[in-house]
Amino acid sequence: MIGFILRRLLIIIPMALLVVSVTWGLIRLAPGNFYSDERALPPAIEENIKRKYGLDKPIYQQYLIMMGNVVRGDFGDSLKYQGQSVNEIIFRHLPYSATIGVLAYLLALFIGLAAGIIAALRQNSAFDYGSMATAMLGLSVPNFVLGPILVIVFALWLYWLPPARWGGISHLILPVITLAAIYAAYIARLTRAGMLEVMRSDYIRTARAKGLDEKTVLLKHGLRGGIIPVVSFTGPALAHLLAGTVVVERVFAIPGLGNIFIQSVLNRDEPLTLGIVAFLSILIMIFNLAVDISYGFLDPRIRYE
Amino acid sequence: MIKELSCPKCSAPLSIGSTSQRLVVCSFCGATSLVDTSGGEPKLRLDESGVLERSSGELVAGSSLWRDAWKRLLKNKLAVFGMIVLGVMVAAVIIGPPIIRLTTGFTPDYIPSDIDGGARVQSFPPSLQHPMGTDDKGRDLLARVLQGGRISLMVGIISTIVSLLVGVSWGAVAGYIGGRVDNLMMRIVDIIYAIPYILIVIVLLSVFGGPNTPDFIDAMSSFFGGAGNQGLSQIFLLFLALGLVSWLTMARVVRGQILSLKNQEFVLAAKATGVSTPAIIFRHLVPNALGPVIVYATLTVPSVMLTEAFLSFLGLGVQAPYASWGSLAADGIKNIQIFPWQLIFPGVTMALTLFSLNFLGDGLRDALDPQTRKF
Amino acid sequence: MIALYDGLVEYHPKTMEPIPAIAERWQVSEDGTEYTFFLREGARFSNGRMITAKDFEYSIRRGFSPELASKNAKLAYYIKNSEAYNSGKVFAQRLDGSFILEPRTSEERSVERAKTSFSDNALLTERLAELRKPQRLTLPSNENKRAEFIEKNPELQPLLIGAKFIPVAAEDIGVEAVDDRILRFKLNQPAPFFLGLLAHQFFRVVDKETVEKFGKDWTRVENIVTSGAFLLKEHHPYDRIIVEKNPGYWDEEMVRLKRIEFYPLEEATTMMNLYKSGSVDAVYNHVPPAAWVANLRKFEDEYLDFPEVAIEYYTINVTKPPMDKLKVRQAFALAIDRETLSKFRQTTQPLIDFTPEGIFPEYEKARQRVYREKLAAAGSSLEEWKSRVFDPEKARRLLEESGFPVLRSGNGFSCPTFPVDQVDLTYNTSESNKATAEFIQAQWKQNLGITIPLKNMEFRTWLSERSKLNYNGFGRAGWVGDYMDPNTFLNLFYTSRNDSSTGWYDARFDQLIDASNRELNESKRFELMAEAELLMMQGQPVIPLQTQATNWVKKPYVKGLYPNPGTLHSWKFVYIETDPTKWDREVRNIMNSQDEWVYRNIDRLNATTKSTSD
Repeated sequence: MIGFILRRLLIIIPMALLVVSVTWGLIRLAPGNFYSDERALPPAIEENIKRKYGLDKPIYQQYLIMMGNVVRGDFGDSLKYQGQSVNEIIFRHLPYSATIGVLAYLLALFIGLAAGIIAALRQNSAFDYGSMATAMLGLSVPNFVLGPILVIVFALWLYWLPPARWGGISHLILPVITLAAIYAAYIARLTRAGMLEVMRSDYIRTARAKGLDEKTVLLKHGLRGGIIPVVSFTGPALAHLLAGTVVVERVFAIPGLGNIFIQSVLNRDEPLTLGIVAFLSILIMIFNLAVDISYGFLDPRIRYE
Repeated sequence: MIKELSCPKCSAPLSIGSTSQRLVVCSFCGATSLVDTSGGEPKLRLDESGVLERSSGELVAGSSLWRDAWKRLLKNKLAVFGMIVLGVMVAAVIIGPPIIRLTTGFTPDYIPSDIDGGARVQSFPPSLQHPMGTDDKGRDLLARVLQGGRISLMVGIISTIVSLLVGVSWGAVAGYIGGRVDNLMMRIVDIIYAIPYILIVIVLLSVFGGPNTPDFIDAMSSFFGGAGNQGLSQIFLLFLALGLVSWLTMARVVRGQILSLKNQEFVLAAKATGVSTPAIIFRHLVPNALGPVIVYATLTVPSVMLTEAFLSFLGLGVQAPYASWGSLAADGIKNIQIFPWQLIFPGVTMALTLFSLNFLGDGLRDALDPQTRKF
Repeated sequence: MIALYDGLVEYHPKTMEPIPAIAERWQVSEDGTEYTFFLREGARFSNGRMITAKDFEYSIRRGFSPELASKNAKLAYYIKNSEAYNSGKVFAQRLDGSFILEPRTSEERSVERAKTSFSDNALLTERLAELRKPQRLTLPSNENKRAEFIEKNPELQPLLIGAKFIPVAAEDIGVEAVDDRILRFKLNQPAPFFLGLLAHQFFRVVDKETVEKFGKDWTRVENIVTSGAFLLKEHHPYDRIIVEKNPGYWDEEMVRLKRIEFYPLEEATTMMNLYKSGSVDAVYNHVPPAAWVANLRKFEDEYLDFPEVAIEYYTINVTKPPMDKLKVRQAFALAIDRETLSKFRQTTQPLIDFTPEGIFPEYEKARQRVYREKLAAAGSSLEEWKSRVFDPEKARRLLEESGFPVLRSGNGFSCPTFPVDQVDLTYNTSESNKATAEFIQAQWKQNLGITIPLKNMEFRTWLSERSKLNYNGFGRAGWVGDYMDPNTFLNLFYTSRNDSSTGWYDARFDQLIDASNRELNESKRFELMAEAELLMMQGQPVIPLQTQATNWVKKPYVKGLYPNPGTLHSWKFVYIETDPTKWDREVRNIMNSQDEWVYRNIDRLNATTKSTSD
């Protein structure tokens, strides 16, 4: 097991570099430059800019220079905002998206698991139908619709909560609910499906046959197998949540990484894009490793060679 | 002729005496199987309906897994409701726009600027003439919602198919084979996750978005509201872009299920009796993971419908003046404080479709589940 | 950034005319190529150092340095030798130490001879004497490029034998600190709009010591040294910029805001929500969505829109059929009902010529005169020209004449022979661009029976494709004037390598623009430009659509914040009025009402130019 974890951890760095390389290639393939404007620049000024940013060098040299810097963890300065280093931007804005993301996921996990488990145990009951219909509602209402509606009701009509921006706990409530809604719906549905699947399986029947009480069967055996789909879904979902979600950040004017990432791509702000991509890919791989490890705890039959 | 086969349930060896034999009972687990000779080589299929068991060896003509599933599905009221709504929706988006054009003369792109010097270029609430009202530009919202349904439904269908075909196979193979193969396949998934999707789409568009496309793609494109000469970029690339990502989480979910299933007794038994790896994966493992698979597939649909709205921002997907449900809802929410109908109608249409899809998904899952026979 | 740095002059909060800032007064030479500025005492950087003419000299030379690679440098290319320095060129020096001069046409020589007298020779310096000499020849510094250039201009070859190449240096640029208080510019050519240009951020003063000490990090909050009315407190891109009043500012008494927070947000709705809930006091620059405008107008003391020195137009790729035919281009231009478009877009004004309407009144008068005369000579009339705002009948006729007959079908039209698959309308993704494109598509469909496919692209992709002429048919473009002169619009079509993204070029257009730049008399100059504009419009490489408007909401107690044509606000004039009786009640009349406090200050600042100059 330790060997497995070590191997997986070691592979993360080369994988992240691979992702960065591919992203770099894509940025170079994408039309347009960070300096392009409504009017074309005079060729002399364009040459000056290229020289300043080393874009006049042969492409392989540019790649090697970029990789050299990335390996040292130095992504340089943002091209759009001079004097702002990429690392500084990432670490300044990560706490915003991470706070919202983690809170939303915890809320979603709590609601989703509870609703999913109860619905599975009382399959075809009123609660089952009700909670699953609510979950479906959570899924069918996109968060770019839910967010503004919550704002209108709670900020502009009732004046209970602030409509946007960052501040105290009251600023967190609406974005966290907006973000949690869709994940809670996912988790509820996946939990219900997973539980239903497990509760019919042979080993639950065996456990029941052994005379274990229903609660033990449910929590000790059923839940562990039943939430495997939720766990699988959690890896990538949590990584993306930490790195920010564009819609909620834009609707609530939260300066998280998600919106900055999209803007950096649209601005062709190469260092910033690469920095966030490297960060995101490491997150994804760490979370997926954590997911793979937790499989082993949830279901002892899952083993890795 | 004696043919050596294995029990589909527990994989214990079974033999059948002649091609006329239609039924065999496994001496190991007691399951009843049907002999299927439709593919030339005889194959065994588990009898899940229990019909044969009860009729003690008597063959019920034409009974099959799919037929039984269908029967079970029809007994599920919600699933039937879902099916009807989806059917009506599909019919409406196909024949709706032409009917509106013929009866009221409105098309999704008609801006009534030539009447009254533009005084009608504004958003009107629902009326007899415009059952869903009009948008900012005075365009009939009903026509726009129906036209928009074409692209949204298509996108939902395509990505579900991709997610089912690619995601399920990818996850199942990785999960079952394990080891290096698993590691490699899952790292590929991780990489695609991590590369900025928006960049991939920008590059796809710039590389393949050329103006020369075959006629049939042009025709397809205009059906969905795309422009005639941008076929490739508009439809094929849209499906490509959506297909690229819609299977990723599905692969992870399936792999997780398979990891937990692959050491269970029935798989070990199948392995022990020499059932081929593809057969184990697709005939034994995947059907047992079907619950989360179907649920996740229905969960994919709303998210790709919204991804499509995001892609149209980059110039991929449905082109103005046409819209999709996602983009209609996105436009509608901006004006909700002034023209609520701009959000309500597209939103409700979309939600109704997703609900129906979900009911149908649940019904299908129950109907296909080999162990659910109790409703 | 305007809040942080001061320049020689500041924008007038309403008209954007230059009003004195660090320069107390100034003089312009008779030939319009020499500007002398007299700086005020007491202006200091935020680190307490006195601002002198040397600092301006440094800041502007730095702006041109190829290493800095400023995008704005081209705005100031009117300053002598600045372009040569910025593009890293070389002078050619003969063995005797004299420089080889730019070969001139005979016409240019006669102009040169005409300007002889220079006033104010008391301030004549060696450098000025050198700068007053005729323009030296400049060549590319790269040897291959130089050889290429000489090959193209064979008449240079004999001149260059034995010549030594000397790089153009920062010191060669026509900006000079005569002493601590006097700064002088020498231009290549008269540029009547130069004074207005000087308020641009490119010309604002930065602290040499800080820039040199911290290198690229000098703009960081902990290092930055500024010169304006406000100090930078926080700079978090994508989130907020916070500035606070600079207590050491030379005009500190007039600055009434203690602190300003800027929130650069993405979502218009979010901004409006923040405004509604009272979290922000003003939301400006195109934020209120068009669909809201009709409702917002009811809030008379908060909502306002105002024309900007910005236009929206469609470029036409004239290099590809069928748009290479003039009549086809004209037909499409005529088939758009611009009045309805403006009503539909709520805030914009219809535009039929290229320079925006209602911004340059003197130019418009000159244009009227020129058009009347030229069109009459060509057998047309001004009235007919003006009917181009919308004439679908004529549009259909023109299409028929080009071989694409428009047929009546039902209660509409159809044009089956027109190759719609060779023409698109491409625009960069935005709510308003989409709305305009949809409207125009519907217009063409209803008036010509032609459905032009729409295509949207992400902004930078579109810039790249458009500049390469990599589009069919029509493309969306907009241009915001860099300075308050029609030239900022017309020079889009200047020279064969112009960046109009249309492929259109006419040598006569260049001649007219050149002539207008040499002309010192304003009305004659405008007439020449109008002639150029008419020439370009007759070629129809573009379809002008509308003059843009800025629109915003502000609380009635926010005073001194005016819409202006460039949406550039001088924050030092903004203040919060605590007395409700003085609040703005009808914001749409804000431009006609004179805020007593603001105008008192402007008069006070302008007083220095009147009392001492001339």
